[in-house]
Amino acid sequence: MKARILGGYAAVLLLVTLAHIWLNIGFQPFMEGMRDLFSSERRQLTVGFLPVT
Amino acid sequence: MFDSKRYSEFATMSEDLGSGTLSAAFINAPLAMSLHAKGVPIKIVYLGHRDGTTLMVGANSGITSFAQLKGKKILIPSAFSNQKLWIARLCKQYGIALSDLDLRVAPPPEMPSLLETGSCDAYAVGEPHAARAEMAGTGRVLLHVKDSWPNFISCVLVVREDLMAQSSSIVQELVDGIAGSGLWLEQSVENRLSAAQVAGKYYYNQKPELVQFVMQKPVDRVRYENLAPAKADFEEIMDLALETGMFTQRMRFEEYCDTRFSESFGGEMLPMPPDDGLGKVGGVKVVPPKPAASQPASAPAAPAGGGNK
Repeated sequence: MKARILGGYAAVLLLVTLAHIWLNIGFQPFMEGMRDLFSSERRQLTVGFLPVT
Repeated sequence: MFDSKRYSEFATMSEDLGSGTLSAAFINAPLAMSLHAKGVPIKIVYLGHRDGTTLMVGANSGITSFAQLKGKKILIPSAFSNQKLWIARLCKQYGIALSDLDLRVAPPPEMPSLLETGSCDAYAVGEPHAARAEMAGTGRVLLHVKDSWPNFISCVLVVREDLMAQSSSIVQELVDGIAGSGLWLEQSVENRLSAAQVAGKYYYNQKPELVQFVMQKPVDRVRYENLAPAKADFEEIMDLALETGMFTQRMRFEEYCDTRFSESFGGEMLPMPPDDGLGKVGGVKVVPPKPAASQPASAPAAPAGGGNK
């Protein structure tokens, strides 16, 4: 019984989390963010310039 | 993903490229080659634009031919600039020795006022500093570079080699972005004008009307197509640099250029996203330059004076 309740809580929590990602972030940006977080690839780059052609 | 950092001189930019605090920049082509020769681990991966340089004389000077500039004082943005090589090329064409001209280095923003006050007879510089004098009525175009040295290269995109090794995908994305937005710019005059509005406001710190003038009078004054680094173009730059003593040793194109990113560009056009009014356009955040007082006056890796992108 206890395991069922815990499992139910976990399932609801997972659904709420997925709904939040879907509605507020979007799955694609979320996946890109995760990839940036765990990847060693650099995702930020500053480019220097002078205001003249 | 991409931030832009505005500099007021090439010396500081060269120093930052050397120290690794800056990994990518637009700098003048001969300066990029010179930095590579001096051991700064950078390579040219793309061009910033084609043409976009003008030789200006005083509006009432009576000078109508390059030959009349013999013995005159001419300003250039840097001793390591393609503007100097253009002047050398014109000298060959008109049968004048480069030493017959009084070439001086001056910061580009000061050139229009130096011409107006008679402190020089002419100046060769990247836009918009030629257009400034033209718009003000104090200067007159003697020559657009496009009419005497077609496909002129002024600024190039250089990237540190460690960045290319560690994160080649971000370099590819940058090159794709420059190439794609260039295609969009060349699509119509309207695109050029709207980009000038944004560039003037957020990047150049100049009146948008000035940048719009540059982008359409004439419309091929600056071009944003055919920006892959071509060996023949750089061989000509190298030849002229050796002839003028800018370089003492020939470098092979493959030593200072990496063409894999331009070769991988898929040809996709990249339209400019709407201006959000916050200085953040298409994910590119503009970082204003540091106050001049906090910057070192010069850096060992770069020549003195101003320069152009």
